[in-house]
Amino acid sequence: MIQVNVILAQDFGINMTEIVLTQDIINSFLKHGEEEYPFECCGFILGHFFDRKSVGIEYIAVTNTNEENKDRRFLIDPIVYQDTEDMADENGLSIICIVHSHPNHPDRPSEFDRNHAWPGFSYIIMSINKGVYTCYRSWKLNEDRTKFIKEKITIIKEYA
Amino acid sequence: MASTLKIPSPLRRFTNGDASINVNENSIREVLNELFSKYPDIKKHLMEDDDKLRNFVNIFINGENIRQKEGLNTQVNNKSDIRIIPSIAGGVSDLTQEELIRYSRHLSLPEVGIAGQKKIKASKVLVVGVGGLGSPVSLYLAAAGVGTIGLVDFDVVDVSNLQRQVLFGIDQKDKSKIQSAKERLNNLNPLTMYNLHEVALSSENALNIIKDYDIVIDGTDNFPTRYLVNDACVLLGKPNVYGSIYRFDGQVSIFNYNKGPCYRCLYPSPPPPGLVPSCAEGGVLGVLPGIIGTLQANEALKIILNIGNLMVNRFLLFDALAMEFSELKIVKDNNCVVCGTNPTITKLIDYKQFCGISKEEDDKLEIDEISVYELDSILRKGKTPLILDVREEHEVKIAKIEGTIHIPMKEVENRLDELDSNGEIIVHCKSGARSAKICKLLMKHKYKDVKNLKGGILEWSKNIDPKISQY
Repeated sequence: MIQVNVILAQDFGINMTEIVLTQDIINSFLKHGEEEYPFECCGFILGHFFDRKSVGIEYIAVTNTNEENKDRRFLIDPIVYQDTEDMADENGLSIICIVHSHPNHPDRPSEFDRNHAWPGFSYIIMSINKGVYTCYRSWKLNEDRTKFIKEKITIIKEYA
Repeated sequence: MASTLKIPSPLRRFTNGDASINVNENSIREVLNELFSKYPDIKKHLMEDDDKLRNFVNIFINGENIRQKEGLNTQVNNKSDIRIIPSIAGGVSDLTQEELIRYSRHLSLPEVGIAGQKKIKASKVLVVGVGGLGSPVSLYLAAAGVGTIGLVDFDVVDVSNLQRQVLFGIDQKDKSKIQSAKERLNNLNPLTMYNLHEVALSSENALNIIKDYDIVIDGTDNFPTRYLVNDACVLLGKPNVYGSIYRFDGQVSIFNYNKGPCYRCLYPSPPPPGLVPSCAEGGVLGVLPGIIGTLQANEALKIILNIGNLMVNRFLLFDALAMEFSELKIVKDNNCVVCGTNPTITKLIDYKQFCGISKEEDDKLEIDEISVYELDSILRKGKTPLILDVREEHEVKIAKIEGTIHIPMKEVENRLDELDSNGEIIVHCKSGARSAKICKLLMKHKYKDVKNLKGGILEWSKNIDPKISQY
């Protein structure tokens, strides 16, 4: 298990970046992942970027527009991205994270994920096994796009 | 009026947080160049080295993707809404969670990795002969995750197989080899598909069976099948991973791959029948097929993964007693009758005939048989027919029927003067196969009253005299 991580991802130790989320946001995307099973679900988290940290405010579920193999792939319509970004901008927020589920697969980025990822975003992947979530992790692509680096998830009850 | 170019949030790190810039130029390419001159660090995230747009970057102008228009040459009119939109996609690995765990030691090898394991999963390998060689070959290929393994054999498990055929156990005695093999392999790796071909590979069925596989592993124990496998592989363009064993010596090579030689380039014709004894006659060290078979499995995996230095144009010799590996260089023979530039064999032939085992001649001679019960009753009546034991010396030491004459199979033809050509002769061996050959030999030499003891000494031990050891 650990060896697999070494290929695609790396633990960044004390230099880890951090994403701060409320339990409500986490519950929303886990519920979405379970509802969409056996297909992959996808969504955005809107929030704020800081230096080595981002803070989530809201989860927005979007439609997986992949027609052919929704159980193994997800695709977000660019127009949906555009509209979501406009909405975020209007509210003084940014898209900080892309969330998606891996039905019956681990919460670790695939080679396909890496080829389609952007540095800067957080990527939360949740593993849904037989319709029930088992785990989730957050990842960030490094600047040279060669690997994902694990990110710390800090859960808070609610924002003060 | 200026148009606006909107920057997606992950790239705003490079624009001091600006969400959009105003642009004036008149093509997307010029708009981007304006962006890059202002914020140089952003360029590598959008463009390939050859100045093409990266494939996960979309640029939309007024709600339309420029890839559906004129690409970077798409014209920008006044007040256009230009967007850089990340293509947001992803998905699971092509290996399942179970596979990722099962093959994790492969995945951590850079030479295999996920891409290599996918190749292994997609591969189809045919194992011809599920015996001493086929056992380790199929066990290791199944363990490694070969997606489809075909098994060819029509024999049943004999207790004497267990000295080296590690696929089987005592519970499978007298059961079908490939059925037993499937049970064992399925337990080792249920993710592999096993195709069972419970037939004797023949000129009639070989092409049809082999055509569906990527690689053929030769685990045969006789020359007709070995030439058949070779020729079928050449005709179908399949690599043939060859292995053979005899007593303490083993051989490994890859034939018919990457313009290398085939088996016939090396051995254009088979040895005369009877010159090279089989493992049953000559014996084989039980560990030897384990060593040679795993080397075959190793070469098959390297072919699948396209890694390392293959045994093509190379012929490995292993001497288990001296504990020596040596290697011969071998080359393709352009005059080879099957893989040369002007082949004369363009379809499969009669391989038994080719190897000097004439079927027709064999069939003409009908051998008289005698059962162990008949022999027993003759002996009880006090008669003393000549019983000829044609087994090897070491076998006689394990078990013998009292009152027999012993002449090893190979020596019979030179010692005919010891046998009366007019009297009755009953020939026996271990199970009846070798003695049948000797019956035919005697009949050709005009012996009139020759009978084969059906089932050999094994049958005798089982039904007449249990004190005689079975081996």
